[in-house]
Amino acid sequence: MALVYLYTDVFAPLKNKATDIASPFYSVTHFPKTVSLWFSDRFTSKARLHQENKALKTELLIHQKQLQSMASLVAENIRLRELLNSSKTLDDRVLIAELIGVTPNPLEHKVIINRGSNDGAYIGQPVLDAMGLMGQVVHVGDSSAQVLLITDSTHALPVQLNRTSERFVAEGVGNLNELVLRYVPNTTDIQVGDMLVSSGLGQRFPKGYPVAMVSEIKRDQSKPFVRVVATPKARLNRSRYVLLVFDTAPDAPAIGGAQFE
Amino acid sequence: MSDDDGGIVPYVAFLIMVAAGILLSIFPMPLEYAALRPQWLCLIIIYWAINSPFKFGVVGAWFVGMFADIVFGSVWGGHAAALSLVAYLCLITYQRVRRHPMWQQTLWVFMLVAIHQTVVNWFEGLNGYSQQAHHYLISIIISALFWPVMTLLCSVLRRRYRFH
Repeated sequence: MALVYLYTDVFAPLKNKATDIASPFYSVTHFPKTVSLWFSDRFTSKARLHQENKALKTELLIHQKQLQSMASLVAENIRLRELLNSSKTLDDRVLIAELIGVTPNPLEHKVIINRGSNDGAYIGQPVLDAMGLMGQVVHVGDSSAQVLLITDSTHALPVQLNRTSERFVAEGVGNLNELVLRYVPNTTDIQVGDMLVSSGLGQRFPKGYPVAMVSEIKRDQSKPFVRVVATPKARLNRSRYVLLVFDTAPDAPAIGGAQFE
Repeated sequence: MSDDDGGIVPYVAFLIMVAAGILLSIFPMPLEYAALRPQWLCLIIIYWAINSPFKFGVVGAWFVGMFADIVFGSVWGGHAAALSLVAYLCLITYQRVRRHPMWQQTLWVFMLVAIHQTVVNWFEGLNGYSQQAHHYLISIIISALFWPVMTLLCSVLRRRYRFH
C-alpha cells in the first residue's frame, strides 16, 4: 500500500519495459479493427476504387505543385537567414506510426503507437497527424510507445499566434476538443479564427506546426486575463496514422551562435 | 479444503479470466461510454476471493493489480492497492457473503467496487487525474449489476470442469 512513491521516483527504465508488456494487449484489442478495415478494403466495388484513385491522383498533383513552389521558398529562406547570421532551421525527418490503442482512463489522454526504440522513437519526440500537432512520446518500449496528447490536463505547449507572432502557452484541460490559453492580457490583439502554431520554445516541439484555432474568447474587464479557448487542429480522437518527427540538432546554439563567430 | 481440489486448473482459469478482464477493460470504446465500463478486474477478484479464499488472497490480488497498472498506464500501485483492499475485505467476510441471497450479494459487490474506485481515484489524483465521485457512480452500478451474470457463468464453468 505504500507504493505511493512508486511513481514519483526512480522507475524510469522499468516504465519503458512496462510499455512492452502492455502493448500485446493493445495489439489484441486493435485486431478486430484491423480485420474490419481489411474486409472493407477487399470488398469495395471497382467503380468506387476507380473514383478514389482519380481523386487521390488529383490531390497528389495539387500537393506536388505546392511542393515545387515551396522548394524555392525554402532556398530563399536559407539565403536570407545566412544574410542575417541567424542559426539554421531544423531539418525534419518523419516516421509514420499507427495508433493501436488508447489508455482506458478517460481522463488521461495517452495513446499507444506501434513504433518503439527499435524504430528510432525516443522520449520527448513530437508526434503530429495530418492536420496538426498531436502530442509527445512519454514512454518508449522496444516496439511500441506511449504518446501524451496535447489536450491532456497535465500537458502545456508553447504556441505562437500566426497573425501577430505573440507567444502563449496552450494547456490541455482534459477535453479532446479544447485547449486553453492562460495568462493572456486583456489588451492582446486576438480574435476568433486566429491560428495558433508551435513556437519552438522549450526545444520540445519543432517551430511552425499548426496546433489549434481560437474558438472562443471570454473577455471580462474585471479580471486581468482573458479566457481563450482553442480547438486543436489535429483529429485527436479519429487519426489512425501519425507522424513521429526527428529533430536533428542545429549546428550552433540559437542564442550564442551569432556572438561567437 | 480436500486434496481433490482440481490441481492446476483453478490457477489457469484465474489467469485466463484476468487476461480476459484486462482485454475487456482496454477494448476501444467511444469516449462517452468509456467511463461507464464495468470494473471487470474488481469483479473477478471479488469472485475468486469469495469462492476460493485459500488460493487467491491479498497477494494474488496485489499482483493482478500491479499488472493492471502496467497495462492501463495508471499510477503504479493504484489498482494494486485497491484490489488488495477489496480482496482483504472479501477474505474476512466470505463465509457470510456466500450464503446471502443474490440481491444482497449485489449490494455488497456495489460497496466493494465503490471502495475500489475510490482508492484508484486517490492514486490517480497523485498524477493530477482525479475526478469527482458522481462521475464514476454509474460505472459502479453497472459493475454491480454484472455480478449475478458473472457468478452464474463462473459456477457453470466450475461445475463443468469440477474444481474449487
